[in-house]
Amino acid sequence: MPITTEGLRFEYAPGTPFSHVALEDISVTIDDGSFTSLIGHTGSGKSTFIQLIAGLIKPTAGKIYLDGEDINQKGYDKKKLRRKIGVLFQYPEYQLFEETVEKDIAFGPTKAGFTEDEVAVKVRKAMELVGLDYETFREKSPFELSGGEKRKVAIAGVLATDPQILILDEPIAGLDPIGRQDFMEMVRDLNRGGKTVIMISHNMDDLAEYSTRVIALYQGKVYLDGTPNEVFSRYGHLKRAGLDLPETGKVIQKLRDRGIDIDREIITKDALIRELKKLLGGKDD
Amino acid sequence: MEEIIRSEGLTYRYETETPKRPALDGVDLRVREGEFVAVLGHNGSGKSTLAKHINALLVPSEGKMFTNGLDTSEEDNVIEIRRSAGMVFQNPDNQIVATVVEEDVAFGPENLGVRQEDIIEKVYLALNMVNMGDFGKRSPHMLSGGQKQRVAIAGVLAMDPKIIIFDESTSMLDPVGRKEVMATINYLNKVEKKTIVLITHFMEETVDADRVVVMIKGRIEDEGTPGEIFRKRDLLMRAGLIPPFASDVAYRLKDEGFDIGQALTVDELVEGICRSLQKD
Amino acid sequence: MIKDITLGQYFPGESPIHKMDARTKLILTLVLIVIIFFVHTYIGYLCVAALLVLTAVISKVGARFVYNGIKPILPIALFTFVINLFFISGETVIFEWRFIKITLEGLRQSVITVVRLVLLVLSSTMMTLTTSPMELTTALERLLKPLSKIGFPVHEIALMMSIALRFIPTLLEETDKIMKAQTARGADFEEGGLIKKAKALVPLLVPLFVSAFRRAYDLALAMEARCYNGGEGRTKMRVSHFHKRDLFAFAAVGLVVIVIALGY
Repeated sequence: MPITTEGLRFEYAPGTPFSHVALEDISVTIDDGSFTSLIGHTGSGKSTFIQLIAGLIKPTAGKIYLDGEDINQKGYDKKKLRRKIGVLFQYPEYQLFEETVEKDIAFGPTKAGFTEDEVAVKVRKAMELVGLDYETFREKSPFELSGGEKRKVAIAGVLATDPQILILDEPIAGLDPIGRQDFMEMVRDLNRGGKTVIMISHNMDDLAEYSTRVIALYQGKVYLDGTPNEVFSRYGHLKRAGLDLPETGKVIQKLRDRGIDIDREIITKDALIRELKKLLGGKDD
Repeated sequence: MEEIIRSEGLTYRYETETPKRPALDGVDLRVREGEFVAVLGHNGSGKSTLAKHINALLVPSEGKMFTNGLDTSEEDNVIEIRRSAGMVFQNPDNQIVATVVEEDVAFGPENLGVRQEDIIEKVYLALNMVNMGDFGKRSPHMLSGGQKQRVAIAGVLAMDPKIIIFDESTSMLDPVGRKEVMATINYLNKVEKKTIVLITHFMEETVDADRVVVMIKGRIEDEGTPGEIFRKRDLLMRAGLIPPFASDVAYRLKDEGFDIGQALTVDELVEGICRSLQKD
Repeated sequence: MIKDITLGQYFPGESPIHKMDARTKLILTLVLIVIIFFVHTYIGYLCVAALLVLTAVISKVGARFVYNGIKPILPIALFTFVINLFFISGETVIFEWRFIKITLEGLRQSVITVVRLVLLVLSSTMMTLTTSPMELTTALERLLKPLSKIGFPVHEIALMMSIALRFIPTLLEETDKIMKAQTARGADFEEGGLIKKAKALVPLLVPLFVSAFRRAYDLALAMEARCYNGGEGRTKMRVSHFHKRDLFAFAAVGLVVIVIALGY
């Protein structure tokens, strides 16, 4: 179920003094099972892009195809779209509203049209995925939980429809380091299990570690597009777009500045350590 | 140097909850004037509860807290304590009162009854310290997160505090905003000589601190310079903290038999690698 | 974007109108509104219109923003115009076709209604364009100060107003976010009848209230930390005083009142 966009353009408040083009001429295809990261500094259009492909806003021009079907054409069943795409926004715990954890998580699958029995199974499975014990939490009010637990309920609420495509907009914001690690590992497992992941994050290290593809947006246009190795090794380009390097990139760039020959396409921590060992060990001979 | 913050056996229990253990359990915190102290801990370690005691937003259930020499449990001291120990909170949106930047910064001095002629001067002095002098007439909701947080800092600075407490003030910001705020904190400590208490769960934010205090379950588990603390890997593990990239790489190299020395930052890591390479 | 809505449509500037004491602007706007309500002569409207145009020119706000200020009521104005035109009966018929009858009196009355409506909105627009919401609440606080002697919480109400103004854009943005998040979970805010629509609002309203309460709690804490202790002993950074320009403004409006009075 690939997502394809053609000449996508989005303009805020067109025809007013506040009009502002957020996205221009975006034509990309996001393959099934990929882990695609979107990077770009605040205002680059990345949030607009995911809202468009999730069918939450309509493009000013251009088309979005899911499974070959134009999602904005007349008569397109939005329910189908909601079943296939799950969206997790920043601070998702702020969207909780039901009396109990179970009811809140059931909201999505119920709206998607699953039967009561199916919903019950899906809720249980989603809670298991995020690490919430079903019996302990199902009857609790989501508002009496701790921050971390609320976040888990919200994530379960999105996963419960079992979407094929997961869109994540800065999902780790506000989590503490361990919470971040746990979350990223869960996303990686979901991706390995076959789900397509599209993720926005400022944390370049996570993206370098887990993505299969990185798209950098700059001033509403696709600026860089490739594997993490390709994108994150283009230090100059990233800097010009106001983007951070992953920590690995910072180390390698500084070593290269000192005249040490080390491969720019190393982007994960483990690979860096391996390479440094070779470098340091090699000198011993 | 004089101790500007001192707690003795500070214990605190939240009334609304029925916890088996108190949020703070016999904390003895000491901060000298001009010091930059980072309080590190996992969510629920009690670090924010401790911070709120410093400016009397909370008062001890047991034990004592002295800020700038004043007992925080004395009702009459509260205003003076809050003037001398300002606090910057987590959510930039929820601490800005006014619809114009300069009017927000003026809120503190106005509450203190500062003479009208002096308020403007204090407001712009404070805004200039955080590099927001040109934004006085702007509307806060049009600013970036980092800018809003700097306005909040200016709002505290306008009261001429000796101490500034940052209660997870960077946790909701993007990397650019985070850098802006960290640079401001360092400037306030190094140049303006403010005493800084930084509450955070990000170890990389503590590398410039004079001292790091690690909290676990309402107690101070350990304290020392960033270098001393970063070295204690099982302490960090127990505290639910993740060492910064550079320091972790240096340790893992050491584990593999390549000792390049300790590194807290990327620069120190690169320096260490180059040093080892030259040695041979 | 929803947050681009300019709040209270304040247009910052340094003109004499901007610098005028907010109390003057508040009082004079009220006076103008009263005039518009009670006057029924062309010369009266002309005077008020001339005064407002003069204000707009001096304030250098620019026609576009002034127009934006009155734009929202134009459809209403048009609607009342049409209604009046067809339903006010009179003697002098100027147009008749089947059951539609337009009379001179109807036309006259319709024009006057629209003019009054536009003038009303224009006078308050000129005030809000040249006065920040904060200045306005301060002015209100100072004008109502005498009421605090009889126990009316003037300071608290003014503070509540300014905080409300401060948080409107934040909450609008939040509404937008929550709406999108719930839509993505399958909520539908548009379809269905009245009851279904009202029910659909629950997933939006509950989080919005929870968030508003959390923000209120945070803000209260932040205000306390900044030594807020009620209105007692507070000073103000910007206290406007009456100047010559305020006298001019009073004189100008006074003149209009006299002209109108003579015109009766």
